[in-house]
Amino acid sequence: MLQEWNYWANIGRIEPKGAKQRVILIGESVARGYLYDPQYTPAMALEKILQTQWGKNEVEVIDLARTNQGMQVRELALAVLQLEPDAVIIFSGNNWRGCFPPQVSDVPYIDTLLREEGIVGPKRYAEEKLEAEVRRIVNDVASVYASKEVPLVWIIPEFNLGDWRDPMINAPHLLNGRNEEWITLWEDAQRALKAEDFHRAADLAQRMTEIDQQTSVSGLYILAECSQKLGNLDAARRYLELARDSVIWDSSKSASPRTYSVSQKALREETAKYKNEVVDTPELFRQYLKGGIPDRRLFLDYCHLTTEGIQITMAAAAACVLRAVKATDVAWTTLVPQTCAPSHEVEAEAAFLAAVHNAHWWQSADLVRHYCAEAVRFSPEIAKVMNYFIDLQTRRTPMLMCKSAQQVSELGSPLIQHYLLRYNYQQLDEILLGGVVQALKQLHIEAQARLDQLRKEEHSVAARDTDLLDYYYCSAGGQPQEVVWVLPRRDRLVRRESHFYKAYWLKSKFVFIGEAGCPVKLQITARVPNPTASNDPVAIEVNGNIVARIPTAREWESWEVRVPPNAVNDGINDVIVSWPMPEFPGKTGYLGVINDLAEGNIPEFFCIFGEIHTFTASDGRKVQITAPEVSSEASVVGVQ
Amino acid sequence: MSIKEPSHDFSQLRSRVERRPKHPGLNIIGVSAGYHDSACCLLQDGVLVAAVQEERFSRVKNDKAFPRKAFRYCLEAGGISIADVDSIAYYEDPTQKLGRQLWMGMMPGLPAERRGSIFDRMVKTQPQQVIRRLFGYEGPIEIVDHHLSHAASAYYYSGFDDAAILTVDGVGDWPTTTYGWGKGIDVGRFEQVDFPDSLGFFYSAITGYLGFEVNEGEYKVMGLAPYGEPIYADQIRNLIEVTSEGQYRLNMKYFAFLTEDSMYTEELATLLGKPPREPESEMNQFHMDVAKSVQVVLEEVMLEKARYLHSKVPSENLCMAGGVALNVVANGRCLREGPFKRLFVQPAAGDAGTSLGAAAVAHVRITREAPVKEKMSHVYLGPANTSEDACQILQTSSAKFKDFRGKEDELIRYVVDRLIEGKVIGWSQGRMEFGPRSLGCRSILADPRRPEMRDRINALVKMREAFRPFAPAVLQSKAHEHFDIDHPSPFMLETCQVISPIDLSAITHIDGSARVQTVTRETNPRFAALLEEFDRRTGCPILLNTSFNVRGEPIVCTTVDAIMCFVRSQIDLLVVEDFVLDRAGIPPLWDLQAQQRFEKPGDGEAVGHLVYTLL
Repeated sequence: MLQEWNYWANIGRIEPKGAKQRVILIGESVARGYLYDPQYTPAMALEKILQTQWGKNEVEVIDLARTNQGMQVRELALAVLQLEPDAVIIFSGNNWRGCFPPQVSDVPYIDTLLREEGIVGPKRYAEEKLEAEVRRIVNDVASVYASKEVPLVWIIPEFNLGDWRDPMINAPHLLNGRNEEWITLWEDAQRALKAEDFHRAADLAQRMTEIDQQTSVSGLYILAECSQKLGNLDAARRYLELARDSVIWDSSKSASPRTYSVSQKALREETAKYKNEVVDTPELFRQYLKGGIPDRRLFLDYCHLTTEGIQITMAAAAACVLRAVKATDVAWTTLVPQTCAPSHEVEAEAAFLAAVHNAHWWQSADLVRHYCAEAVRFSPEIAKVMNYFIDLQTRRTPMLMCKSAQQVSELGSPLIQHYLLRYNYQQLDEILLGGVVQALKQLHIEAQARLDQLRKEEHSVAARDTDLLDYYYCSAGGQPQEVVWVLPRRDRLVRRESHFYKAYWLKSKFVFIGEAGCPVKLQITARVPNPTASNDPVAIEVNGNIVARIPTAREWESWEVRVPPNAVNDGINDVIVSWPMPEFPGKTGYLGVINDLAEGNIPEFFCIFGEIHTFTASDGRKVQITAPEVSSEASVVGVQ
Repeated sequence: MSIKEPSHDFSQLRSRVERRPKHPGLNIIGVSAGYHDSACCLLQDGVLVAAVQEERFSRVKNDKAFPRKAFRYCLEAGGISIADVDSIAYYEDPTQKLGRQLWMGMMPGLPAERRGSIFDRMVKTQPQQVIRRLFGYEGPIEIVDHHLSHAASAYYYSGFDDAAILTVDGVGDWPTTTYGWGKGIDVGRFEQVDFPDSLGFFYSAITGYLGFEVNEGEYKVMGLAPYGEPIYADQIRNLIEVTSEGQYRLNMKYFAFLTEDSMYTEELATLLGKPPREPESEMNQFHMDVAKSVQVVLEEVMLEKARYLHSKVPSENLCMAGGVALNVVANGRCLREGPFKRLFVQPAAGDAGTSLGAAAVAHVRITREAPVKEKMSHVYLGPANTSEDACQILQTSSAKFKDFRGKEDELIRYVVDRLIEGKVIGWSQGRMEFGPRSLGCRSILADPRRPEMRDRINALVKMREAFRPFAPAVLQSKAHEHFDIDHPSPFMLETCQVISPIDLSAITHIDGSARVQTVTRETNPRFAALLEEFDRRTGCPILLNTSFNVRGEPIVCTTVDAIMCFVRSQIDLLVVEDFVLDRAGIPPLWDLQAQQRFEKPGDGEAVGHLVYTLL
């Protein structure tokens, strides 16, 4: 119940309707004003505009937006009619997921689709199911509203096309086993991008998308980047939209909320049938940005809006309400200045929270640094929170038990209390804390040395063994698909069928905290489930130096690697495990998918490159140096 | 793919790579999972190295999920990797179980929903596949029939060379009760009672009728029984027909579990003359009388069947396991009034303990040698917390605490002072217990001489029903002076009469009995030291000892669990390893942490549980 309360506006009671015109805003977290709420919300912005138009005591906006609202918005929309609204605004669509995995009764159909078309078949199935469901929601709601003659405004959400990037992943099992060709194309395209040969990169990426049939973001992002570099914004937008939509079938991991093209299309078409007012934010933002691609200026993350984004959207929504209720045609652009904005302190906190949120969603260092910089630009007061955050995020003690969390709490900020102290998860956060340190530098506060010292005190392998597979450390690898099995929270919508590490790409990244002059012992138990005949070894690098080559084995084998002191950094050390190219199963991979679906499990759509059961780093000085037996199969690495 | 060459010289030392040879020992992991109380254990060369229930990690009470974290803990405790595991022993036979499920699914008149639910269970992935997929294990899997796992969990850990073995539970594969023997390394069975006739379900049906949770509230019925009179025993005898040899039959007109989700039919209410008690509603004399009546009938049946078993296996030793073997009152009666001289009950007699039995059977199958040479002397087989970790947590917090590192005598004296003052102590030390009982490592302790202590701990600390009794922990050397017991009872699995000259009202049940744990320095030195000091100061070598948890929550495992339980409850003082906290020292924010940890894990229905990293 407590959790449910936190999803809604903090209102205990809605009074019976009085003389004021009543507008109700329902929707999901984007309508809640995620990261600003409760200090600033879209409902506040809307009410301010409408009161300016109608008079302060003439109109009220009831805020019934609920974070995490999904398709149950249909029931809520029908229920709010009891509150006698003069108009209702529905701002939903980001949490309308693809209907995949399917019902068991549809599994034979999916089986056929997979065999005949590959993953693109289930992708189309998921799109068709979602589109039908969205049409049903609009029809169910709009028909009742029409019969009651209550004006209804729909806001069609936009996605942060400009900045949000789903993490790069391998293509799923491809027909005819063309995954290796796909990877080669990807590697060539990366080289072409680096050489700024955008035509060649685009050509290679085009071939990737032909092979994967747009079921992966990877080729589409390259095409978008090339289009942008070559000045074709419309093409870039199209590729980014395709990339956003390409993950609809993939239930093996959690994609960020988004409004898919099929949802937007269904919303546009169905609302038109009922002549409902519509704020089409993709079109609205295009106009506002004069054709530009929406990005961090309007978004805090994948879909949640900045103050500017909220103001524009609510101005457009207010124009719709005025038209529907008062039959007054007012240009939304004239309404933007009539709304309200949060204080600089609130903006700073929201920007800092956005930095945390983006970092924990695996976004780029550039984007994370941007929000950190924005935070200190808005208000230097945020430095206090940042300083405490460095401490509480680096401690091994659970966050809320740390003294620094108590100090953050005593600052008394509702936003920080609500978002950071309640829901943050501790992790090594190399990118985020790097961004925080850099932002503090702008305020002439030196925090790097303290962070380094704290990391060593809390996490140095010289003090205690480090489990490299622990979420705290392996989250720093930036490979979300690989860490799903150790996510600190439960979620039945992601695949967790195995309780060990699976590599979905050629390289797996890990980190540990070392100390200058201190050798490190790595212990790994690993296997390669899909080896090729070539039997290339598994290589382990520490900070760019190969420290071990281990023969490929299909069964679990345990290895110890002594890393000499001069290969160990003082502070964060990167460990890369490079796997040999596997034998891709092609179509036979779909058998496992179908078996999983039939058993009600979330299927494995991707080839596994390697698996690790245990991986630890410890103080190499504790190792007995007496003539270790070196396996003849393994290589002693290093140059004398 | 090209592999980058080393970018610089490592000058003095080169990296070295060694293949770690396989661990020389025979490593067998026992697994129980899927119904309730999932658990794992590690038997290393026949030595029980580790055992733990999954609930202690997942914090979901009676967690039935495959024990993924318990499995990893066992590897770590044994210093081995997945590559060193020689065998995984699974605690029931899925083929036999499938037979029973098929039989149930074909019951005439089964509602479609029920049939669907049975079908879903039948098509679930086989445990062998789950083991392979979840643990990544590719080696041999030993399937051990459920009641053989129970039997082995008692016999092989009893220290007896021969014994009669009685296993009684709700249901496993097909059998619900088995009669057997153990001799040397062999365990055999000569008779069984099959589902749906089940003494476990007989007791559970009344448990459900009395408004308690089935599979969880049976020990509450046992605790409630002494408040009542067996005036409904005749009616309850209608529920079960005791037949020849080891057999008995349930009168199915009173039981609904074959076709419905309820354990009992309306006929039971008609028979007893009153409707079932609503959960959490008021308890009255009727409920107590029913509890007493079912307890008496259970004891009668158990005693008769124990006598029958002895007639077939005339050993002096009896081994018991299965959920019904956790009914210590019935066990005590079997020993006192029955033909056996010695009784060993597996401390984790429920399904968690079957992991131990399955592992032992696998050991015998592989080696043809006895797995365990000595009687199980303790159950401190779970994860250990360290003083260093506790120190680290406390020092980085704003909590106020006392540090007794290197000053154990002082710590003991300090805690005894507080006990004498009437404080309730949360006590978390070393390795956690395996099984349902806290035996001085994850315990709540108090002065047993204070009459108000039972009500206070039930209401404010454990937040549970007022009638629930508490058990005493007593120095083994002085147990006979206070309790009518002449042998060690280290696992709190026997009841006896309180004969102490001291008024021990907090641990004496209404019928004058107590469920005793005897403590020695050999198995739990710090707990024994505490009892000795309490005895020196008060003349009472006894402490009230109850499990360190609150209602609805598993027993605490980590130092953080202990601290959070302390914050949430009204325990006066927390002792974690060498550190002591009192309530005044709790930082305000810890309440929020405690609240969050107690919230049920999200079911992922909406996107938010993963999506909103900051929500």
